[in-house]
Amino acid sequence: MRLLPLLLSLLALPLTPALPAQRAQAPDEAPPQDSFAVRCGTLLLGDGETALRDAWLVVRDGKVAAVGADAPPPELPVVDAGDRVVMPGLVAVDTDLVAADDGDYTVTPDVLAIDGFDFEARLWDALEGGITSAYLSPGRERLVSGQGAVVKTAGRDLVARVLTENACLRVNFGDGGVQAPRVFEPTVHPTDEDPLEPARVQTPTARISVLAELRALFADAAGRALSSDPTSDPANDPDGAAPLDAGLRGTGSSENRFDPSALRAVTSGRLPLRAAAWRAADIRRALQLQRELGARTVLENPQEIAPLAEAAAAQGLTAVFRMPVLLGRGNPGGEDRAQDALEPHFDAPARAAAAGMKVAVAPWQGMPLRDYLVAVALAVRHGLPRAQALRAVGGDAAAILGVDARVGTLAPGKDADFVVLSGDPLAIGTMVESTWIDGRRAFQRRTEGQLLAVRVGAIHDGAGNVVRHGVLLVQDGKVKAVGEDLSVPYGARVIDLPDAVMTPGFVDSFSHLGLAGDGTGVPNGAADQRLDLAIAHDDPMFRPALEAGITTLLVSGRDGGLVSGRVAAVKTGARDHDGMVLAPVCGQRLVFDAIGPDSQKPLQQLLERGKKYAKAWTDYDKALAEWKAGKKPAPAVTTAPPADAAAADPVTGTWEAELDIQGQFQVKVVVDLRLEGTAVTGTVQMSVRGRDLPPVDITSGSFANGRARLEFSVMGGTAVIEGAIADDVFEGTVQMGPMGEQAFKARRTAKTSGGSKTRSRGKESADGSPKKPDVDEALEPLRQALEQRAALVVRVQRFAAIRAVVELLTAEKVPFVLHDPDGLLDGELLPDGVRPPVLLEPDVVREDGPRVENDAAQLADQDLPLLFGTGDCAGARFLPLHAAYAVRYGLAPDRALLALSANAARAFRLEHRIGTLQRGRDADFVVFSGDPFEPTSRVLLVGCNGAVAVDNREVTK
Amino acid sequence: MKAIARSFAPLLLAAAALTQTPTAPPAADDGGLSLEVWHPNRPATEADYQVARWGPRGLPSPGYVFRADKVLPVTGPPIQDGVVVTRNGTIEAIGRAADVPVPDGYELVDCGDAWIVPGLVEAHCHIASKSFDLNDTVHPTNPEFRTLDLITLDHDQIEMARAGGVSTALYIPGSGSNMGGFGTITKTWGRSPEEALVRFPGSLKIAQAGNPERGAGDLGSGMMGMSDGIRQTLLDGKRYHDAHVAFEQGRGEKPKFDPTLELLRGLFRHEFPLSVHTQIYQVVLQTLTELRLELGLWTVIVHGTFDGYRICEDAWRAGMPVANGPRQYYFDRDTGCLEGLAANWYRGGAHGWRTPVRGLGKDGIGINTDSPVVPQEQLTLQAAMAVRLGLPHEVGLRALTINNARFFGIDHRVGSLEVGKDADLGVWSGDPLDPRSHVRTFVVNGTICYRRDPNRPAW
Repeated sequence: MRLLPLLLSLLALPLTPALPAQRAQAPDEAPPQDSFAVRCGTLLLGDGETALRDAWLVVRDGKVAAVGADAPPPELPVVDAGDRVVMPGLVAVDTDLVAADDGDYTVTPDVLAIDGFDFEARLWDALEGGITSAYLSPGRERLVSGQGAVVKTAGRDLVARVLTENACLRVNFGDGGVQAPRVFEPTVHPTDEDPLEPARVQTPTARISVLAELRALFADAAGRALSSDPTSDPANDPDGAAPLDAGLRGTGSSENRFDPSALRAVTSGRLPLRAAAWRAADIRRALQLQRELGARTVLENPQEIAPLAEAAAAQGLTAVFRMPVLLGRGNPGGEDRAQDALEPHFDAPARAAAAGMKVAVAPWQGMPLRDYLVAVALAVRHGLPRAQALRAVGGDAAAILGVDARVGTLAPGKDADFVVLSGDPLAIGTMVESTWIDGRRAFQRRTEGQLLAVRVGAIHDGAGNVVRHGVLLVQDGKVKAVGEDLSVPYGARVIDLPDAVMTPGFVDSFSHLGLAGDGTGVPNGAADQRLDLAIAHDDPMFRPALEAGITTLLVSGRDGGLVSGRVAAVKTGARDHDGMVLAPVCGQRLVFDAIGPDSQKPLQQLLERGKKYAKAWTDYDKALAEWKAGKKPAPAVTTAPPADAAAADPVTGTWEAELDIQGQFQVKVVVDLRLEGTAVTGTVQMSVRGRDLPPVDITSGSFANGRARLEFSVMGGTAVIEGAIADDVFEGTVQMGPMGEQAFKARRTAKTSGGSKTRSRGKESADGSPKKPDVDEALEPLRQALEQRAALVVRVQRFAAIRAVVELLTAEKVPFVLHDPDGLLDGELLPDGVRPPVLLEPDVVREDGPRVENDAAQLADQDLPLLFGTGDCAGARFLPLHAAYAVRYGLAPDRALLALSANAARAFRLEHRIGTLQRGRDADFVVFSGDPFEPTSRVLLVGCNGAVAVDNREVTK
Repeated sequence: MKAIARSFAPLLLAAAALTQTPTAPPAADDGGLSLEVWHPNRPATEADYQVARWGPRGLPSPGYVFRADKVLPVTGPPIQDGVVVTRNGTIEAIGRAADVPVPDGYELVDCGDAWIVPGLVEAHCHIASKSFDLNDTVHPTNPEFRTLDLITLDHDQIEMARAGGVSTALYIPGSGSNMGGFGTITKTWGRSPEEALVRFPGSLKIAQAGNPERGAGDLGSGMMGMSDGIRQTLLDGKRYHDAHVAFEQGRGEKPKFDPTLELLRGLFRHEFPLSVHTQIYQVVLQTLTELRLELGLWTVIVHGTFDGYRICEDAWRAGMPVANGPRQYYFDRDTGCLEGLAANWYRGGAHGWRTPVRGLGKDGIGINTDSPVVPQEQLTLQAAMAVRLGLPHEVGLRALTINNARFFGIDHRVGSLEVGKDADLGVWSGDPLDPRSHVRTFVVNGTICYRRDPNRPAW
């Protein structure tokens, strides 16, 4: 039993839908050896300048062995970074990884930041940001905070992770340095001779005495006098041997409690000084101290450096900045005018760099370290040259921290600390894909290519807009965004076709594809045909049409008689049956060309029947709504349980199977199925070691040609069982997300359905609910048209008949389409304002004596919305060329494009799904190498339901 | 002058002696100097200074000829239709427009009906830094502190100083402790604090009574204790100074360098004075006896309010001037009179004595703001108030310029419009002591650093 939770987690983890940019850390997935070669799309070396294309980074024993274009020795394993950018692991010049509170005492040169660092903590945030070396600060307040350290952000050997534990001595010139608390040092057993003293004030309490205090501290520690005046003669300080009693007059018990060796190390030049100073006046004092001490000095976050940058540069100071913004969260400050708010200066790094200072950049306190590079990019926005920005996390950062001998750049002999980036280091959508420290992978991001971004030269969105430099973003099969030069979020699969032109997927408004018979030809149409069930999503006839850019077919059988076939809308590039069926019913074809008295009568009668049928449903819906509201208890109606009619079919019944998951777990699967047409419904129940999990419904099931496919949900993900059914054996595979495929073999243990829940869910019932009308498939298309959910397609020729149809259907407010209405070409016009859509077959260009007439152009000029249909099977693929042919003879290209997309969608009430590339619509698109109507243009890509169904880019090359 | 000082040296500590004065106050303005500031050891030239450091002069600035209907040199008679010629931070010529030609390459700046007035000298300022961190009131005496490192010249308050016509300011520590540290004399504009420096130290700030008093026992709470703390610290400096003198005269070892005492040594060399926060007759008397007479220091009173003016004749005899402010009046409960402080210091009078005493005269009185206690741009309003309460108009002008410059030993650089002095001048819409007047254009070290925009507030 103890294994159960483990199994559940096993099932749950991989099946959880992946979020964009989902983290999946695999810290110990070390590369094959510590010696390997990385093939890099671009290799940045950390000097800000060098960017090697298609280069190699060779790692041996955790160190960089070589960088450059030379191929590595064949025996080395290769880590292929593809077209990615590889750069040195980031050196973070300031972090808040040490959460040590500042102590009470304000002079603590012997405090070590390293002592506050938790080596056991896993620094995902830093590793995800690509940070391999991080500065640790010894507290933030207090005058002399202590000594900073630099550590690697991951690694097995704790000692080796420490680059230096004496990186600097931090001194605070800001508010914190003059706001130390009073310290209370009680005598344990107070006596008259050793009384309790009041809490002692710690100096300095004001800026006027900061330098005086520091001078005294360093002078005492150094055992020599420091000049208080930079211009005074050094000869005044001849001996400098004995400790100098020139400090403040304090005599508190803590005054000499610290070990002053760090102070001495600063005065002797062995330890750099890190001076925290935001305001210009504070920076000035830091410069003054540097002049007096001569110590190597780093300014920490000198936001007001601008007026002093040249002086600081002349004194050889460096600076680390924090970019003063919190992205994605509130930024406090300025609420109280009376308070002296510190104004942030985003251009401070740029100003310092321009003056010649070496600078490094870090994000603001509170920003996640994973966004480190965004902060650096902001410095570039505010003027820091790109090369310096890259050095600010590379070579310069390492030099400022004094660890450049080992990290910061990629050169032979340096530590093999590097990151693989998805793109340019300073781009907003770029993410660290993997982080490597000492030749070992410390972080690996798992990315799901859920998001698709297609960048083209122009997008015709089908709604009349042309978007230059267009980007189409697709997610979950739908259009997420269309726009000019959209930023591409991280994790997106990007397809770049800068010269190409995108249009919506084309619609063949009159097609027989998928209905081809086997030795019998396309069947005649009928209103009650369940075309959605008859057509297979993987019919090979779809492929050529799909490759021509036709993503949607309005399918019907052959016309014949007034009431011809129903029209169904199907996708050509769908991956499954559900994806194929856009609308089981989207129209009803009619053939009508009668003229004369009462000639409309059959049409009117048809409409009356339809209206009656539709009314039965509206009445039912109304009664049901009232019943649900409890207003009108209906008389009890007993309904016989549905007869178990499927006993004889090959699917219905109970199936049992044993699954073996990775050789460790045996799972029993019981599947209860019921076949209706080609649809399969039912439940799936799993049992682990005798314990039953709750049964789940089959969300999508089909059975055709002896093969069944069942989709259902497990732990929030989708699982699929697929296989052949024959002689009570169901054999195939079960696919459960990333857990992969398992063999599946089930036997039918009963030939009657156990009464699956999906089936028993209330239709009519004995509970008094109103009786549901019987479905009349023959009238369903008509009802849907009357309810504005489909269109009547009327094949009509003579003008008088056209006019009669238009008048009748307009009055009845039924959506309709005129199919090849030749009568409209004779110069007679429809009434003003009546402009029904017109569906044309390919023969629009006719020779009339010496002239060439273009029916399409003529009808378009009458402002009639055009639709194109081929009426073909194999010939459906030429639909776009027919449109191009019409364009050749005068049809406006924009009209032609509408005819292939938006007009069809609108006429058949499918515009909420297809026809335009707008947010929320199905992501059906075509990308041409050039103008869609140029015969030289090729189809490069076709997307259907958000997936790239056709990719001819390579062929084109 | 030294003779006078020496005659006072064995002093007159008794009040009776102090009252043995002429029965009538001498005339205040009798030509020449009415008060000689006492600093007998002061080095003759800037080059002779050992401890204090002087800021740069002659920094590059364009050649200008400022012309106006009236030019007030302060140290000389007003010039109608006058010009001031400046270049490289220095006044090159001054005179009637008709007599002084515009040199080649100089720009004529015609100021029309304006008055050209010397840049004003503020003797008591706390605003030459954006930070107001001027009091570290932990220990009673802090000779190791200095304002030099705090100066910033690009913030609102110092910009207002320029708009108010103030070009030179003595920026001193606060009065939270008895010895707040060393002040700095700085121009109110410069490309950097280093360029703006006039002299460091400008003075040593000492505060007696009043502000440094603490009830909690953490700092001195009585006059005697505070005076002794000041005395002992200064005596440390004096011993250090004496050792240097001995060394220079070949009578001893060279003393070990001490950065704190090194600056105190400058006091005894009279390289710079004390700025003494002192007020009320009794306290000012202590200033006179302890600091000026006992320790022999160059001493300037920088408040001198309440009834401190009653000591004016003794101060005059001792060569101890007063930079008066920020209060300009005192309500005397005994008499029910509203006394004008500057006027009383200047003129002398009975002031409760049986016989009237002599005043400091036209050269002994300065006026200050203690900015930001009174905003820096209101320095002229302080003088206007003094004039309203009895100070002659001409003395009011001197109290803002040459007098303050002389008290602190910088009159060879600033305080009046004279050839060879720093080119600091304000172009005023009228009489600076008229409250309706304002600065139109302001020049520091020969550079135009402020122009009033009539469409905007003055600052």
